[in-house]
Amino acid sequence: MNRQSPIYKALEERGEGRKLPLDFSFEVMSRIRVEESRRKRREMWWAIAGYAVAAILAVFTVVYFCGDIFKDAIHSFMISFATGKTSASHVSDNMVKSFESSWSSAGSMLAVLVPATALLLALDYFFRKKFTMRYKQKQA
Amino acid sequence: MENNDAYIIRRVIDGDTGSYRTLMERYSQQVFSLVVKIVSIEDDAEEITQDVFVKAYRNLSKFDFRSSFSTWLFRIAYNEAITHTRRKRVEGIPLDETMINNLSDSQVDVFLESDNPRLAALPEAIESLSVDERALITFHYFEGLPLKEIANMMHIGESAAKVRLMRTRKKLYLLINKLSDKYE
Repeated sequence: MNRQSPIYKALEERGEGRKLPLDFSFEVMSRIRVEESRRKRREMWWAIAGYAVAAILAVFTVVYFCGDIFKDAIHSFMISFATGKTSASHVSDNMVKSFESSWSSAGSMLAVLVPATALLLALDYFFRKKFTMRYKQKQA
Repeated sequence: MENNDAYIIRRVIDGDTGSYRTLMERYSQQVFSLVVKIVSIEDDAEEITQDVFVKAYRNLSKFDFRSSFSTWLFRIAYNEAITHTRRKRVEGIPLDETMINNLSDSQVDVFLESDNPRLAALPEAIESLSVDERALITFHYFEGLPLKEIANMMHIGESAAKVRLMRTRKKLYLLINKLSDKYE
């Protein structure tokens, strides 16, 4: 860099006496803070939407695979509540059967629920990351 | 260590947004000074400098510490200045391509480093260059950046940057000779 070069001097002249206003940093920081809060709000809404979908699917899975067990259990409970009899002798055969089957169903239920939850959480993470990146690229 | 750019950048990435002000106070005038040389209009330069720092903040996690922070900011500033000027469609003075090609490098070199009175037209000639060309000569002659870094900033090869620099010097020569009648 040759400070004596005419091109250097001409360029120096172009910038001479030009200064940024004193509140420059303040203005930029305000813009950054506004953008930050918007981004956080957007992320929060995506998280809420993601977890709401996950919760709906989880409830749907439980009801779809284990609905019969709960139906029988609730039915028997309502009968014993209505008659005031809670001893084992009054427990219906259906209920006993349903509880027996519930243990065997529990395994299959877990086998579905655990991977489903893992998959949903992974999808949630993936989409949030993807949308954040797309947002950043769009802004860039 | 605590005043080190890398340390501050890591703090900002970790969520300490306030620390970004330190970086801004350190580099804003330098970036503004570069941008004003490229785009000429002070208000535009201020707006672009703001955009540069907002964009740099958004992409701070992508800064790989391979170059200095100021070089990285210059790269963003160059891109922003180009985008801004393209939006405004600023036209330069048209020059005959054959005249540019027929000029010898040495003739231009000698003239541009001389104290020829015609060089009084140099500021106006610089103003008539395209934004790309103004950025190129600012990086080379004012910031003293190596050609490799300039090429990287402008997303071109090193040899292309060298050719473009020579071409810009030839354009300056022709522009000065075209404009200098006013100064004589």
